[in-house]
Amino acid sequence: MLPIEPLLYLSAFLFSVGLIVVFTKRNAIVILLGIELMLNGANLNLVAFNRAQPELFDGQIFALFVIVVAVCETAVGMAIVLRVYHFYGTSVPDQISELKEKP
Amino acid sequence: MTETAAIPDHPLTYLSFAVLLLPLLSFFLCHVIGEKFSWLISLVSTALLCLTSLAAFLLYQGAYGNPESVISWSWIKTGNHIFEVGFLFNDQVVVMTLMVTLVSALVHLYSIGYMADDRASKKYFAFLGFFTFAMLGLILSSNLLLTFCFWELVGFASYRLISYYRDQSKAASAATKAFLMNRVGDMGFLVGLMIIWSATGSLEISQLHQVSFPLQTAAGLCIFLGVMGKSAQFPLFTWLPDAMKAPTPVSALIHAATMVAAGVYLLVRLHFLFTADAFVVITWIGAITALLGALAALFQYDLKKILAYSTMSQLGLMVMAMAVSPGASFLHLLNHAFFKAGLFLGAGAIIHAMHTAHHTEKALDVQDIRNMGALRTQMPVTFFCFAICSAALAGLPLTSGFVSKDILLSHLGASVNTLWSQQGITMIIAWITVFLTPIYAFRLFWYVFFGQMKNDLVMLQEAPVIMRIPMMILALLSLTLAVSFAPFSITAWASKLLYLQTFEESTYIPYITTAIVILALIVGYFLYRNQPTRSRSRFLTQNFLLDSFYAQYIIQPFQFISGFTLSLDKTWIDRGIHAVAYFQVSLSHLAGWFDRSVIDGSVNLMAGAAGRLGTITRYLAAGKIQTYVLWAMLGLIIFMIWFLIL
Repeated sequence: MLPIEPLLYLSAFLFSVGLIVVFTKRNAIVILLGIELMLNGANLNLVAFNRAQPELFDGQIFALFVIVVAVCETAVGMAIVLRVYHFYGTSVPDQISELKEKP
Repeated sequence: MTETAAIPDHPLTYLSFAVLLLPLLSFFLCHVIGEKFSWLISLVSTALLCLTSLAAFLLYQGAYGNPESVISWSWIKTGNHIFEVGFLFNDQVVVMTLMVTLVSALVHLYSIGYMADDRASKKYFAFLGFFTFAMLGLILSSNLLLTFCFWELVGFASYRLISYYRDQSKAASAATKAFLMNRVGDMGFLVGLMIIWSATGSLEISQLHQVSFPLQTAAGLCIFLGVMGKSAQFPLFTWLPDAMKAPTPVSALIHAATMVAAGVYLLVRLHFLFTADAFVVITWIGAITALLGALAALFQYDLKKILAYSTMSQLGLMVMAMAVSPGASFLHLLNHAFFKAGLFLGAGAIIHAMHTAHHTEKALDVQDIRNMGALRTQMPVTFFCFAICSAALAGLPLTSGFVSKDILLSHLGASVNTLWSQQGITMIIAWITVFLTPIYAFRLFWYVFFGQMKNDLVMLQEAPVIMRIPMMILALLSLTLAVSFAPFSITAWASKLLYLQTFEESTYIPYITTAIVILALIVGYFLYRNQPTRSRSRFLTQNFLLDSFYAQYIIQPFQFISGFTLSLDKTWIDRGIHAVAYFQVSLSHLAGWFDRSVIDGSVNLMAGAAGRLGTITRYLAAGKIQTYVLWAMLGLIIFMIWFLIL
């Protein structure tokens, strides 16, 4: 039986990478990718902690639901990014600053 | 006496207002009527003045013979005292009003002809009306303060009229001189009013009867100073000959009705106010003026100046007799007004004719009697009128001048106890004046109307009808018939005219006067038979050198003093003011610096701090999604640390 610690480290690593991607990348699509990574880190946690009660499958089922919701969310997000790109000619959120006070 | 503010409803009030305001209306109308209808001006103002005379006649009918009455209403309220204005009626007032309006109307009528060629006659007629208005106000006013106001207006109007020929610099300076001389007198008048006010608390003429107060002599002398200025008494008379630069009808008005009469009238009016001591001064001044005027008239060659000095002399006689009989002086004032106005209008006619005939010769002095001669054939009507008026001036029997002079001399004579007293000497001076008067009157008359014609080539034109009528009326009024129906009985009508006292009839004085006048005429005939043109004596022809005396001893010291004060002003007062000003400016600079740096600085500091803070907080909400996420995450972490560890 595989010990649980490497799994937790992996999920923490995945979550952190996703977080850093969300913070640092400029393009909205890449940010969405970072969010997916964070979700995957969370899913891995769900599955790993399910070991505590092997007779049930709550963690796995919850992970499946998260994947489905994440797909929907990504679809909606990509659609928004596409519209934004059509409208503004860019998909970088920082450059969409019409409401901001001009320096 | 009414205490209400409303104007009392009385027929005399309306008449007085009509008399007073019609000339003023004439003044305004002359300004209103446009250039296009300028020919109307003379007619309108003359018509208005004739209406004024009519109103004055009605006033005379209504008020003459009645006891003194006052119609007044409140004017200014200061503190507890109410200044009143109003009309005071007594016999003198209404007679004087009638005389002034009559002479003014005649002068207006005459001016239509005299000023026919003058384009600027609009102002002339306007101020003629204004002059009359001011004089009537002076006569009718019941309050000395109001009298003083009108007194000043008379001076102002005379200033405007004397300087009427404004392109002549002499006319302008003559007007200024008249104005300043009068100002000296007016100063005295004002001081006199102040003394009366502070002593009695009232300036109502009717309340000043029967009062006596300390400084009464001083008050009387101060008021007499005003009279000296206005009535051209020694030593303030020098403006009168210079005022001859005015148009001749204006001279007639000044000499007869409006200007110089004001002073004598005031003396008559305020006769009760003067003390015996004041009358000593008044009598002496009058005597000196009478003698000087007569002497100066003897040596002048200017037609109008002779008349001016004769006016001065006659005014001196009136002032001299004021102490013994104001009534006699007043009668002489009235008679003098008519014959002197007649003389001036005659002189105007002569000057007008000379001017028309000789207007090509610039060098010829049209007022010099040496350039005239034998005018009786060329101007017969003027000759007759002038003859009658001159006879009245000389005091020949059957003329008004004879009557009033007799009354005057009788009263002077009655007051004499011994010859070597003040009364005696002044009476002798009066007799000398009376002796000199026919001589200069004869001299003037002889030079102008008899002898050889000086300019044979030109024929003089008789004055137009419109100028002849006023002259004839005035000549008629100068005859005894207008004053008395019994030529040699001086009390017949004259005493009824004047309320003050019945005149003492002297049995011998009329005959002595007649003898003196005839003697004087004979002397005059032998002196001036050949119309000598002697060289002038500076002393006698130039105001007895009073002008240069004034220039040297009054004007120069004043100029020195004013120069000194000017330099004092410049060196010390101005410097002080500048120092104060510099100090103020430096202080203001300091205050400005403090304001800018400290007060503005603190305000700016607060504003700047708020701005910085705003910039910082704005940075947090910069619209970057990732920043928001970062902050949310940090917040979450802090929360977790707080929750899990602590």
